[in-house]
Amino acid sequence: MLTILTSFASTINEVLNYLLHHFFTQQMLFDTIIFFIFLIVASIAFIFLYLFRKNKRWQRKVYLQKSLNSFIGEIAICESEDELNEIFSNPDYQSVLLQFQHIGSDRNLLISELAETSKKFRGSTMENILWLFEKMELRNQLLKNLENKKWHKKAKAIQQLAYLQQKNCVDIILPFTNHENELLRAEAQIALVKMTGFEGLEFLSKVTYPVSEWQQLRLIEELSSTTCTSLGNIHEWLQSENLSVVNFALRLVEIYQQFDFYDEVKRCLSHSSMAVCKNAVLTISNISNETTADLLVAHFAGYDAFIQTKILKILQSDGTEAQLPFLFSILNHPDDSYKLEAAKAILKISDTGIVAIEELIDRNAFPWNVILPQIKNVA
Amino acid sequence: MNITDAVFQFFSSGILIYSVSLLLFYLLIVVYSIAEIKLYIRKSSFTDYNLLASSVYAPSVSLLAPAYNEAANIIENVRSLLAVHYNNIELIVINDGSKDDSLQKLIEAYQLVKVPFLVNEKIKTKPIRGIYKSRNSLYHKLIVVDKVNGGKADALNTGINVASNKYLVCIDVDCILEQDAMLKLIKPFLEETNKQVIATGGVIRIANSCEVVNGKLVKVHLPKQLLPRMQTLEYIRAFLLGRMAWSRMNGLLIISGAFGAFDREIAIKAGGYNHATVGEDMELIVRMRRYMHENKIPYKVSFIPDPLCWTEAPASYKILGRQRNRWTRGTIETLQIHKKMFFNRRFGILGILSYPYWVFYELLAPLIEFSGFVGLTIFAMAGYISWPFFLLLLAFILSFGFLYSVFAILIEVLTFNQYKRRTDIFKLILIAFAEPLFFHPFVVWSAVRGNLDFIRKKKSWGEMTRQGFNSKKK
Repeated sequence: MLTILTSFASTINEVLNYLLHHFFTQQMLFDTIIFFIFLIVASIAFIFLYLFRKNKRWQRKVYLQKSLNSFIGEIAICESEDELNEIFSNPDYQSVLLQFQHIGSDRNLLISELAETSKKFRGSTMENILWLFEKMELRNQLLKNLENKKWHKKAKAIQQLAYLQQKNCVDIILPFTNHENELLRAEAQIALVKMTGFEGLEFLSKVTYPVSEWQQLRLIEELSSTTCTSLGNIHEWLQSENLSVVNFALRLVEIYQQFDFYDEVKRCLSHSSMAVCKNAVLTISNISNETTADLLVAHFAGYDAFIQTKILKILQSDGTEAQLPFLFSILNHPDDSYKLEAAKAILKISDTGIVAIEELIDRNAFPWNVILPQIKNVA
Repeated sequence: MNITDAVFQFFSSGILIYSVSLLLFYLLIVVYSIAEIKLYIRKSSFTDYNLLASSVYAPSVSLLAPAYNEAANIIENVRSLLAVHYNNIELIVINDGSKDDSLQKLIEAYQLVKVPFLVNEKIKTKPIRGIYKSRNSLYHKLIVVDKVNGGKADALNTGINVASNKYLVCIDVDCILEQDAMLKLIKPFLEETNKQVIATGGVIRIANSCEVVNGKLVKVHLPKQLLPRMQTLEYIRAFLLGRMAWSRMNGLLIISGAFGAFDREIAIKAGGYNHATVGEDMELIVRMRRYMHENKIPYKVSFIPDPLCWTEAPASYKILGRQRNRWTRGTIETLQIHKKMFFNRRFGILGILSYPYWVFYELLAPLIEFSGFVGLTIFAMAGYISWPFFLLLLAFILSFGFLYSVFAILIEVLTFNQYKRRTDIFKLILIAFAEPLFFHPFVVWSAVRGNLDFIRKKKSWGEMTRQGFNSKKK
């Protein structure tokens, strides 16, 4: 054993010896140090050069923005095309606009300014901004940006096309709604909804990638500023193989109170995905009828703890005396939070509920010595 | 070759090989972090965080703030936390058996009354003495828990038991949050579609010398004192480079205890915070990850390079030494508890890369550095190694240290650029050259002492007195 160990140590030592004399020589160390010093000096120089250039760029941007703001302000309040043409041909403003004729980055700045302004306005002001956008032939610049190889430039172009309501570009944007790049895909989906409202949701029928929770929040927010015209395809979305589409459709049913889809939502209560079941429970409680409480009780046993607790909370507002036997059975559940929620529901449903509970339990023993004062306190 | 020559050969080559491998790891970290930060910044330019603040569909969050003997600032700190920019939230302040009048002050300031409140004790904790809520609807989000003292981990576990929301955000009560910190911290939970995000963390920055008005940070300054200034650079390096790179590899083993978010359900299933260690923040992340691996659930621990939370750094060597000593003991304890993962392929990148990295380059680094320096000095004095070679070796290590720090400053300037004045950047660069000579040796020594204290089974947290922020009231 000792011989093996000695031989192993000797081999290691020979390897280290070889490395020390062939790779980690004094000359190699010296050269590496010089290289590191060079990198340090170059990095420091780059830091200050970058800060200097950044400052210069910022100053130029501020100068251009200042020139643009008064011009865009004038354009925004024009009341006729003649007035627009008059301001546009004003020599003072022509000199300002000349700066945005050729340099791509400056034209992009002009587009950004117009897009930012268009976020704040509607009606005639918006139309005037679009008039300027056309007059400066900026769409071509955006379409050029859309062909850029970098995803973030494409996404920016899509975003700006949407802000500037370029509805004739919908067909160009549509294929991006199922693009492999997640962020590009997300911007395209938002753009479509921004430009065409609920009709823009048509991408949900084709999207094969998941629509994240974050994206769903964005879409809901975007839809909130438009009138709900049609959720025609919701039947299809509720049966989609893409689970995120099913979840989003359930949310739409809940938010826009689509009572017609009650039966489809009911089917989702038995979905193989627990996430879909959870959303279906929340949705059905918002479009409930007299059978909903019984329906939820019937599905109760098949769900996880999170959904079961949700159902007990829903019964606090939607429950009837028909669910009392079920709720009383929950009072024996091993989890104390179930007991609490069930007791709350009983108290809400029945005037004599508290008396009935007190007959069944030991009011001085834990957890009832806490639960009873708590539910009485809330009531 | 005699035995002394062999020992010398083994020792010097070993140190050199270890150093080179460490440098290669650092290079990998730089490359990975650049890619991740670049992606994050581009993604952020398309993000409107206010959407989450105002949306009724935003996920519910329980903010847990343990407090022990914080009477001096507790009212202002809680006010600051109540003003956090997030709608769907409850704030749970856990008074961990404070010996001062923290609780009385809270009761008076926020018109609290003791309420009956069922606590589902999913994690075993020290007894709760009472739960308080405000009579004033203005403070309806506030819950104050008064409990028997059990330490920070026990207080946080109590908070987890009391919390009713989907996500937990644990915060040190004296930290200052950026306006949109909560929004940025919660967003990763909503973004991921293929994996379950179990925890997120953000960059912690040093608040010494910054201007604070009514609990809000209004102006960022580089710390005036030398020690906090050196820690500023250290934090930039650790958070902006190190943690971003590990996040990209999904190999992050720590989310700072000062400000981090967790999936409540997973935190409970993993068993909550471990009060047997002083590194409870790291231990919880490792255990949650282990739970996910063992149950074969795809998951991710996210990290955000945005500066989200500002904290006061120790300004004296005494306090700094205690902090680093505790961090070392926490690391050893955590790695010891989860030693099963060491080079264990079953735990994927965690077992193959993250855990061994922490063992070799976080835990052993100070010990190897210390013994390497002492050993090589002895060899040089004994004539086994030439002084030029010794000095070259030292210069090699130091120059890489400078380069790594300068590179971290470069990344900071290119990305978040918190220190706007060029003089501040210049001062940071000077610190990069001074830090390896004055600060780093002390940190190494504190870590060595941490190892010794671990062997002596010392379990104390160590008192952390703070000077307070450069605070103003308006």
